[in-house]
Amino acid sequence: MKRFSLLSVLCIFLFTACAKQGGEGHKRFPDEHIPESERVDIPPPPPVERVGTPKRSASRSLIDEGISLLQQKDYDKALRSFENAIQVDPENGIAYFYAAKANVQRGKPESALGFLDKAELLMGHDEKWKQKIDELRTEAKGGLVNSPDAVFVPDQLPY
Amino acid sequence: MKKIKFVLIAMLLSATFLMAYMHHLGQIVEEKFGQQDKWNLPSRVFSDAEYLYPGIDIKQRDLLAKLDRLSYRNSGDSIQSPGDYSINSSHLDIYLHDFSYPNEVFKGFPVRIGLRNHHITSIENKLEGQTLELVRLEPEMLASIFDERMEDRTEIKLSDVPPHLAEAIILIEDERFFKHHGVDPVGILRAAVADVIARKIVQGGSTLTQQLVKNYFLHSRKSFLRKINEALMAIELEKKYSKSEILQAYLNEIYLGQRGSSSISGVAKAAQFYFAKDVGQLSLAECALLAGLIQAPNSHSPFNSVERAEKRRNIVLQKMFEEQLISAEEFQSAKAEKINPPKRNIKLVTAPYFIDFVKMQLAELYPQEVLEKEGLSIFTSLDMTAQLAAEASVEDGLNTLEKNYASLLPKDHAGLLQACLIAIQPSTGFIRSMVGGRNYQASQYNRCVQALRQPGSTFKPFVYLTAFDGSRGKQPYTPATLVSDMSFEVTSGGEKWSPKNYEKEEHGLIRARTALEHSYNIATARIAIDVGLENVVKTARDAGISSSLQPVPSLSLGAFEVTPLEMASSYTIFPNSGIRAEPISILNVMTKEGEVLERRDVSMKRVFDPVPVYLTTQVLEGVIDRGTGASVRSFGFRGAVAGKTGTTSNYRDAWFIGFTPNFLALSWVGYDDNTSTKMSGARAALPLWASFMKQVANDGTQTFTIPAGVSLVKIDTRTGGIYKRKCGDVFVEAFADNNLPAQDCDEFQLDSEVELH
Repeated sequence: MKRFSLLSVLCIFLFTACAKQGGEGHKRFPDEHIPESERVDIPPPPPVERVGTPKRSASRSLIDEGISLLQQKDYDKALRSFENAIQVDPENGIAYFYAAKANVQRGKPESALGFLDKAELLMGHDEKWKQKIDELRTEAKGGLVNSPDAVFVPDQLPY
Repeated sequence: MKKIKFVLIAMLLSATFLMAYMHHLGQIVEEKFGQQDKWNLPSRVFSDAEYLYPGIDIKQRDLLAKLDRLSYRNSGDSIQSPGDYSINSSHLDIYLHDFSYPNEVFKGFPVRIGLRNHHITSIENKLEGQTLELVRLEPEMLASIFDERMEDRTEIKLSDVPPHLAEAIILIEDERFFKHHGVDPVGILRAAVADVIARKIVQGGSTLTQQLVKNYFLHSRKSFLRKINEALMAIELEKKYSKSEILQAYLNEIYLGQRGSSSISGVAKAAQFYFAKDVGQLSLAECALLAGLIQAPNSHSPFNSVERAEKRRNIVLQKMFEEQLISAEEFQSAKAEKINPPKRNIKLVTAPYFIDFVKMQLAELYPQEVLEKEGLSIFTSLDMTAQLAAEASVEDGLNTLEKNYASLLPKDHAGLLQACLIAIQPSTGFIRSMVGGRNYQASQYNRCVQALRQPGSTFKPFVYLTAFDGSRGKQPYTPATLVSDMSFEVTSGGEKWSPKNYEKEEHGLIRARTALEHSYNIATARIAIDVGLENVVKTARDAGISSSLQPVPSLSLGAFEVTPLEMASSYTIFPNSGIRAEPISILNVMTKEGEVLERRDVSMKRVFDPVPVYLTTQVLEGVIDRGTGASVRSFGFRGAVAGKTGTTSNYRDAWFIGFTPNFLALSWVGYDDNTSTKMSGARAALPLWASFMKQVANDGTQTFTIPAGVSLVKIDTRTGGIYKRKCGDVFVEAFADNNLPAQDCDEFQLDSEVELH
């Protein structure tokens, strides 16, 4: 009887442990039917700030140029800088984010949404950027266009 | 007495007539010369600027050829002035040109580009010693839009002309310019004497004013009446306008050489043409050379003979020295200056099909007259390096096909085998190159833009994209879903339709992936019907196909005609994760004063869920790895690449559309009259694509972005079910998280009569 109780406890323990493991798996894989062994991990993209290729640096210097143009309220020219940054490094999500920002600032929020979608695709895994993207999207969708006189507050540039 | 009276009356009448005639000429002079815009200035079409930054392979980008095209001059060991470059194995120095961009006047400065194994390692502003992340090379001039006079001219103010240049010109062409009133009897007499002594015409007696009148107001045909008019109008001009106004007009008008069918007019254009400099940047020696050219621009041209140009230049310098316009030191140092003209562009016509495409769009914005006279600058998205690679790939590719497959091609066919090769940057929609045919001189028909052709199997990805997107198709598919590739018949529009596979075989039950990778028609048509043909039409429309599409079964196999540009643009949604960037070719139109008239921005919009787009892209990668596009790898193309072949019935069209994460190109090969080439897309179109892409997009470091919501699962290749040890071969498949495989491989109850592939 004692032996049976011990076995039961062990079983319950093992079951709980397995269930817990399954629960974590559920977070990553919605279908529990597929065993962990038959899944292949997708490596997470590197943090946005940490991509240090020369192409990314070149693209970032164009973004910096665009940001200072935004501060001078030269929206069209700023947008061109961000477009150039995209052209140099099409994987640089920050360039799309600021292209969206320039569009919002120059009173074309509807043109910002596509850029934000692309920014999210490239940087959605980064919580800080995800939040910025969501905020700007809300602003664009609400048509809360900054008046041309509004003071441009540069973001805390995370790179 | 009567006779005297008659003579007097005749003289009076003549004088009255002369006065009336001079008044008439005076009016003509005033009417034309008084205009604000004295000349029709051609508009110019430019390529896109190019950014250089560390990591770029300057050999692959053929940077030195680009510098030649931009009229930079190899100045040996060091760079002294704008337009010079100097190269050795460790660095490339460039003294950048000034350039007027829309809303920005760029002042050139010297840069040092560090090199290792022809890759850029660093960039430094040589003036300030500051490290730069990147540097921009100015756009290349692609074409000018002229009026019928074909005069290439950049207008300039007298105050911007270096004094040495104006002095040299006056000295050599009309020494007494400030002393006469349009016509110079002293000059005529002196010229006549000189000509008599030499027994040939060695000097002209025309003043600058007369030369201006001759070129600006009159035609150049020689006649006695024209000579009279020239003299009278010169006098009228001098009466009405100041010497400086006349000199400024002369400096802008004067003929200084020839480039193809257009003439180089005015000193500003000539400075760019002969020295690749702004006129204000000319050295004394260059000023003297330009002044000396006026007498006989083509025979004294440094492009034709540096010796003759030098001899003539030194005559001008000598005279300047004698007249004490320059010091002995200046004279000696200018005489010692080496004449180093930039390399001349041999190709007079660049990117002709693209230019036509741009002009077609410009015609919607401005009347032709405006383009011919307003001197607009049109900035485009074209990457000249890619364009040249595309032109070479088309030419070489078609020649090779004709040589290697002569037995397949029709004998003595009236028209040439033709092609279209077009490249787009998916993330911006920039059209980077366009070759609309084999030989622009022979046929200006732009096959990329004007030809409506059946896309064949290149249309299939839209069927699969619809199927993989649960919100678009009636039935959700995964790349592992089993589909029957057994023939069937369906009635459409009262007619029976039964698709056949390219190789006439049937393949039983296969995974959707296999059907697309190998381009099986039967399975694809089944999927299209199953998900709803109208849904497939909607997918194609959302991707950017605007030509007519009908929801009939043959739609799935690409039966409806589209243009190659439409196809290329619609495929950009794959590398761009479901976001469509509108294709752009014109970026800016700017006036000669630098004001931006027209501006086109990158415009992007999400049109598809990124997950099914990724699944389709993944399968299209399989086309290259295992399917009908496998020969891409044999051409030496590395890295992530996806694509689709297409061949239409009776081999009328051969297609290949392929893309890396950042670049997309489409190639089409066929005859204009739909004659069969007897060649598939993989055989005819793919090599052109591969040869081009190898030159422009063989980076190999990028991968396709995997969006959130995708899982990779090991499946059994036979059943598409979740892999277990006892099943067959394993394959890692991409699935949408909301449509993962439900069954294990051993749970499949397959009809044993159906052959599994």
